[in-house]
Amino acid sequence: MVKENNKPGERDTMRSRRILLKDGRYMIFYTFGNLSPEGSSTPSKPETDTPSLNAERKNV
Amino acid sequence: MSELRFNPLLGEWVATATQRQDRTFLPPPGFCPLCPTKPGGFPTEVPESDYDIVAFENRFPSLKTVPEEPVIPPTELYAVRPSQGVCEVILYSPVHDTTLAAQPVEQLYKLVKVWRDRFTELGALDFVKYVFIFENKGEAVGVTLHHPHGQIYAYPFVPPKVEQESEQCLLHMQKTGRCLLCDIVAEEKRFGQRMVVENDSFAAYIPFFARYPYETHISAKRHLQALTDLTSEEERDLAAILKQVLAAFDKLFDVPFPYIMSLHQRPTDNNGDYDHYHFHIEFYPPMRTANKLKFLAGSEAGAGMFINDTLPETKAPELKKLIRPVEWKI
Repeated sequence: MVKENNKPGERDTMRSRRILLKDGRYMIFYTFGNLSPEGSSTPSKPETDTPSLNAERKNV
Repeated sequence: MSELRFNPLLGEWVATATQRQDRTFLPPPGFCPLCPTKPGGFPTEVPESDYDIVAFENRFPSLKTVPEEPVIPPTELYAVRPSQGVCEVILYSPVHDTTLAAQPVEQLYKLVKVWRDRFTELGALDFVKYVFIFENKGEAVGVTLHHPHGQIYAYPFVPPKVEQESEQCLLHMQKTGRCLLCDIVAEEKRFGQRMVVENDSFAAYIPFFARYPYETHISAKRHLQALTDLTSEEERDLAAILKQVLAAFDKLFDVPFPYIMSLHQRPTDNNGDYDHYHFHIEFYPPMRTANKLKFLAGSEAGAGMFINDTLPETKAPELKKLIRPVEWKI
């Protein structure tokens, strides 16, 4: 399953979909449905899930 | 293989990254590894084209999330450590023959939001102390792939240039009680001649101390430290002023204007308060005329002192007269 993110507030329009490439690298596709002037962005669709960067996190 | 070696003479880390010698170098038309893979075409790095912006780990990274151990042991004099960090590529568009300057302002607004997202995620990693967002544009600054893209290096330390800026900002705040960048913006606005353009939230100018003829800085007018401090309106204003400056660059000599774009935000090292620091963007364009480049020669490379063959007071008006209004479609 793909990790999808919807940001709060205005950032609700930003969606991210993360996939794992064959060599193990991650790739994140960002789409902005409501922001696209052409309105052409398609909704995110589920695929292979990959975790976020596998490391300890801190507050930023 | 890659590792970080410490230079005790300068007190700086140097990354070795021998695998980068094999990275793709100016591929022929039709074989760009950053274009989306086409049905029946050769497999590129990007399997899909249905996106606005893509971020992914660099195939030839200088820093790795899980780095190998150094090939050489440290000595009492020479420190060495694994090159832990993250190197990402940010594709601005699935279209190959375009540039950031040519994007509509709405696309730049999206990019600002993606930058913010990457800063937040990478900066939250325990081993990341600084998230550096940048773009190298044009062969004049060493670009090897022309597909419009920027990069992010998430360093395991605060890089020296930002550290130096932070120290100077702290000294100024201790001396005057004011932010150095806020004072610089106020001084540039007061003097006026070096201003390029401004809006409610940002000011673009060629600073008094510019090292390159068209070295343009974009600084937040409000005292803030990172993209994560921006309001939605400020994000729009940042996109707008970026669009204006980038478009003016391309009009200067009627060529896609090469530059290095460098976003300077606060460190993410959880090492105290960075309230003295101030978010800004610096552009280092190497062109000094339509057919002459500024090289880092003896004084610049050997001594660290830049010689600018021009005056910011005469170069800023050249850019200013090329600034056009921004047209939002949304």
